[in-house]
Amino acid sequence: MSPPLLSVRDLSAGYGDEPITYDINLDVQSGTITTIVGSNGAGKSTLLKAIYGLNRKFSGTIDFNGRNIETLASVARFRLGLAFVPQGRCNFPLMSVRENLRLGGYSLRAMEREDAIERVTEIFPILRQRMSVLAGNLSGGEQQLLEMAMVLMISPKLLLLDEPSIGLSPINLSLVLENIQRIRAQGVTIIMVEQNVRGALAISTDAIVMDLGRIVVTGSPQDILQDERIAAAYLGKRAAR
Amino acid sequence: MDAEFALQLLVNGLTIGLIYALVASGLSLVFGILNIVNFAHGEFYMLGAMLAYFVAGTLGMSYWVTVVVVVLAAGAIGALLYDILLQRFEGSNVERGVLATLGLSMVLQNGAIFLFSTTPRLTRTEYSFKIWEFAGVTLPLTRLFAAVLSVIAFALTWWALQATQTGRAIRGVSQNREAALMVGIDPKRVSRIAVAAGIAFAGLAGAALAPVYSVHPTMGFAFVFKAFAIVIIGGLGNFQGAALAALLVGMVESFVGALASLVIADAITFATMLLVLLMRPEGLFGRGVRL
Repeated sequence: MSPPLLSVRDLSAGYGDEPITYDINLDVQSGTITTIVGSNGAGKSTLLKAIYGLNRKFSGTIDFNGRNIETLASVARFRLGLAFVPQGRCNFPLMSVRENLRLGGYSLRAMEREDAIERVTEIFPILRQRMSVLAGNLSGGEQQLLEMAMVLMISPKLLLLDEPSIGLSPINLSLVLENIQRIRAQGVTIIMVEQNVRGALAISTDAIVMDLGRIVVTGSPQDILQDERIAAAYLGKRAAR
Repeated sequence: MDAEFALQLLVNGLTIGLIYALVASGLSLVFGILNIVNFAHGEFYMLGAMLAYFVAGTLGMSYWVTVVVVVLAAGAIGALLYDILLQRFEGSNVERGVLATLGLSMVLQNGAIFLFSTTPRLTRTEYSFKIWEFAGVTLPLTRLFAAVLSVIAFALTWWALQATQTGRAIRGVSQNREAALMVGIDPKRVSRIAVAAGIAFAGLAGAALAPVYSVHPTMGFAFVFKAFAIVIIGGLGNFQGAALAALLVGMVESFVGALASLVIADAITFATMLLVLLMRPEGLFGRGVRL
């Protein structure tokens, strides 16, 4: 087996003086979709932010693509090909879709940037029809796609998605999940935190269950969904059904 | 009022409005990106004028060399101001930023009084006392150059904000800092550039007006309050709104000042600010065209 794209060892991270996640050990292979599930407050988003360098690391190491990154600022991690789409709306609402995409390719040269816009709008054709529209005037689902397109501008190796379906209607949810699969087909590895457990696990290759800041179960999505005790204990009634 | 007099008032209003636009836009640029109301902004206008007095008056440099030296120095001071002070108040309570910049304003103003005394000084350049005359309208060359420099600075900044990646990044950080981090923009680097540009604007206004008005340590104090009124009328953080409001205030000052009294002109400006705060707190030009 090839070495993992991301390797996290004994990671404890959080905010202020208290860690929220403890002793996280995690290997993510290239080309996979890993979904992290768990109840509210389990530490899922904190873990994603720790991998991207947005909160305080108390102990542990993070290796990405063979390089130790835990001391790097998030901007430096981004330049290495690690991208993060936070929860909620995260775009530039008073700029057009085209300007948002141009800022997505902030670190690229002008020619590369325009090529990248062509590439990402091929993945998300819906954005091609909205290039002049202000991002703040797009629907929730379209804004989520725009945010993914913005980080895909630099062709990241690993994409961290924090609750991509939050606040979306069922139609927009399907649109987003479908497009996450298309992103994977482009060779991008994905780690996703998602409350919509069944929808997310249906498109995932690996699953992680977190509780009280620790990883309690790892395995295939099917195994986790079929284990009624795990589903009932950690994923809530809806997922257990 | 005959047409020639009206035209003269129009030109005077436009000239002073353009200078106000320069100072107010700088203030707006800093607020837009840091959410900090910089009460020391007028002191950087004063420092620009003081430095112009020193470079042109004492060292005998030409008007244009003086302008370039002052703008570069003010930009460098702006970058230092961000690194040493303002970045520590980013994202904190508005009150902390207000108190910090008020404190800085007092330090700069009293420091200037200690070093240079309160004696007003006149900056002489090769263009002093030269007049431009056209269609019955007369304008001192130094005023004309001040207006032209404002237009150039404003147009260049507007172009940079719209058409360059750094300009887009400044607008991006002012709209959503988290999204900026998401796409690999370093908000600190971008904020440093915006503050440097904002303070360079104040310095340019000081250098441009040093040969027009007398230079003294308290000259920035009254100027900055007018700039605050302009920024509030135009919409806090709204770069273009600040410029349009500045032109409006310049016109009011010119026409009302000539036909009634400058005191009434100031009263109208601040009464407009109060009305805007009461009836349209987002400013006359709102958030729609924000930075």
